[in-house]
Amino acid sequence: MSVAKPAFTGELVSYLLDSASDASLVSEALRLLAASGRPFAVDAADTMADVLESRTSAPEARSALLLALSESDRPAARYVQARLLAAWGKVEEAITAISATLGSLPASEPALLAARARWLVKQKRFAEAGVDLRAAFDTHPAYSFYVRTERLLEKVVSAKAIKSRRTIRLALLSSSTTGLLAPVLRAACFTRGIELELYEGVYGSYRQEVLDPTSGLYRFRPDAVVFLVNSHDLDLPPRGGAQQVEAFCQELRELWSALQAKNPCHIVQVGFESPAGGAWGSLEDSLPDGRRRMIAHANELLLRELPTGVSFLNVDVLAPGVPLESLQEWHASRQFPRADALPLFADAICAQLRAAVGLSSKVLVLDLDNTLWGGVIGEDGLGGIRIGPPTAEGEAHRALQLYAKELQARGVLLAVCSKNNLADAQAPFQSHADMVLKLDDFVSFKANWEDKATNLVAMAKELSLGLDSFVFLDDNPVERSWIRSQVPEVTVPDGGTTPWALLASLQRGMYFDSVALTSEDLERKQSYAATAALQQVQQSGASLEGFLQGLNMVATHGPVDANTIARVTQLVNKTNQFNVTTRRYSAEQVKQFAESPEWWCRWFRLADRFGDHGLIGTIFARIEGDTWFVDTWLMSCRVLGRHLEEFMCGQLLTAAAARGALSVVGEYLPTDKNAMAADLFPRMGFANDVTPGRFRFELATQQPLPAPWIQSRTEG
Amino acid sequence: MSQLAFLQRLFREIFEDDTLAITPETSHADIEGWDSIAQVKLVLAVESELGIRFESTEISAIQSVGDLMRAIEKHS
Repeated sequence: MSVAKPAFTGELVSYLLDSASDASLVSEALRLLAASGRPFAVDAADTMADVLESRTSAPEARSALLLALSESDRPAARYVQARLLAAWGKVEEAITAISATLGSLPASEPALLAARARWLVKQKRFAEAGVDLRAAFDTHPAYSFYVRTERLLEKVVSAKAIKSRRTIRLALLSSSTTGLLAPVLRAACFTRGIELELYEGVYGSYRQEVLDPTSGLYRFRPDAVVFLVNSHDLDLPPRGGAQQVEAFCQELRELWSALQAKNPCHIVQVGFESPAGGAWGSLEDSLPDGRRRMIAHANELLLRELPTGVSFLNVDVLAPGVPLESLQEWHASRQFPRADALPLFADAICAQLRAAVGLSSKVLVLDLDNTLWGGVIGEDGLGGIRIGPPTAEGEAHRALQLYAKELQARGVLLAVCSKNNLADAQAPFQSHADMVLKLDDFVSFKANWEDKATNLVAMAKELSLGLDSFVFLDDNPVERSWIRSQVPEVTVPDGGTTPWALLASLQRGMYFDSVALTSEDLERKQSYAATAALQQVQQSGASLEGFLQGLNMVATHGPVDANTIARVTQLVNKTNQFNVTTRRYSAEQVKQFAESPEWWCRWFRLADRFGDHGLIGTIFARIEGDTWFVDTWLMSCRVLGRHLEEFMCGQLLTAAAARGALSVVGEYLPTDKNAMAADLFPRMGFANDVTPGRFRFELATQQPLPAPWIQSRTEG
Repeated sequence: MSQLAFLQRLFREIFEDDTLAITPETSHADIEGWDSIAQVKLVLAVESELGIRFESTEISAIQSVGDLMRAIEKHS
């Protein structure tokens, strides 16, 4: 859809010229006319609204102008009308008018979303304003947009109308200034459901911050720290400098461990950028000690045996082909990376933070027609859809399928949600030779004529996963905005409509980033397939006992150790439902508990006839004299309904008794999501404690419940 | 007219105050929050919206809305 409509612009121009001639006004109108690439030139329309506002003061003139504008059906007319309504105090009417504009556009327009968010904030409708800002940030606007909405976002966040998934206390330690990064980082995290509390160290003083135990950094007590360095820090000549590179990287590694020893936290280490345009040109790559080679060597030194709790952010992949630095910004204000690269940079940091706390997206829900293949299967048939060569479009759809397949290979779940007849929708997966994805790649396959929001809600229930872990990829802008409005928890990439744009929006979004690969990631799909099969068995009415008996379950368990910290930490941070206390810990904290004699930290794995589900549960108990306190007890939703809890509890109580404890105390801390764990302790035979919300098991007089269906295997 | 209106819009958004009325005489001292970091952000927003690039010396010389308007004038 194009642009400013000549007829509308003409109407305005003549109206304006009738009122009083003004050359700049005409030129603004002409800019509106000439606008291209966007639905209309929002800035030109803004200027018009300003001018119209300032020269229309009589009430009759205002009404006449609003009437004239309402008679045009152009989106730009609705928008100018909305601006005037807002300026003249009719904010609710302004919201209605701009909603009409937004509804008529094929893609989200960040400036319009921000305008509506402003008016919604005025009306104290903060939650809706938040949805608009989130959709605006999801279009990946230019840096200036973040500047223009920084304070607006502050208002929305401080109104507390939107529940964040997690608050993260993040410290930025850097050798460049971070004042420009902060607002973009806040916006990026807000968009993904994270509320950021930010500490900005004085630039260039990160060593003192880490080494001085009384520094502001430690008073702040960060959950995560970003170390932002850049190639200026290495101060390399065109060739040579290996020693300074090694010394610098060694120092950084020492700072990581000093920091983690004093304040366990996740560390995001930003790698050195490979600077473009060095004076020695290609020699900086081809000489073994050329400058760019030395910088690559520095990154290699940082990456070598990356410790637990540290992730590496490769900045060179963020803006391929474009220098990450503006020398002018560097010299003027020690700004790195350059301002217009900050949105992408902030998203990359946010993706690693999400991964570190277990909030990365988990499910990619795919549309079919014109998303996974070109064309409409119900109309074009098997022979008519485009997938793979020879068409460029077909190749692009195939590339998108390959990308999805690669995501799946590291644990991302795939699902289908399409408006189609089921048989039509399944046919290409079964019998089209060029398809990469097959039916058994999907943990859920919804092809029907119900609305997609209903389908997504059903899917989330089926998989026992939150809608906030879903990413919905669809070429149709109408479906995208429907999902955004109906299930705002779902992440909806705002790409264009071509397969190239869809793939780019997935790549740009970094929704599924991961900082550690666990074997469970690789096996996840099988477990969810087993869960779906179990549901069917249960629905068929077989007896529960016979069903559990037939599963041939084997539970292996052992103390949390170096091999299991990564997975245990992942579970601690992402398990929401079967989790009695929902306490979140960093890998470093888990390590400290595991090594302490005052804690009992145990992991549990489960295998059954459907396969090995991997490490799926953990209990941490804190030992105080003759009483054990259950600090953490959780289980992955992949293995719910198998009565593993009786088994885990039995292990806990037996271990406590063996070490001479007299009682075990548990507590339940309710959240929005963990209702299923509310009666866990009573079910396991714990009695209400004198302290409300606590439960007590007396080892001298009580026996643990049996878990007859599960065979036990001990490790370590 | 249109340039001042554009800047007024920008100032109102950046400082989130829709009663803000600026004139060429409006300076750092008149607007709460117009500090050095806000100045950098403001200049970046102007550059990006208008597709121009200021010199570093021009940026540091901007003390008022009028200074900003003159700098824009020089580049457009």
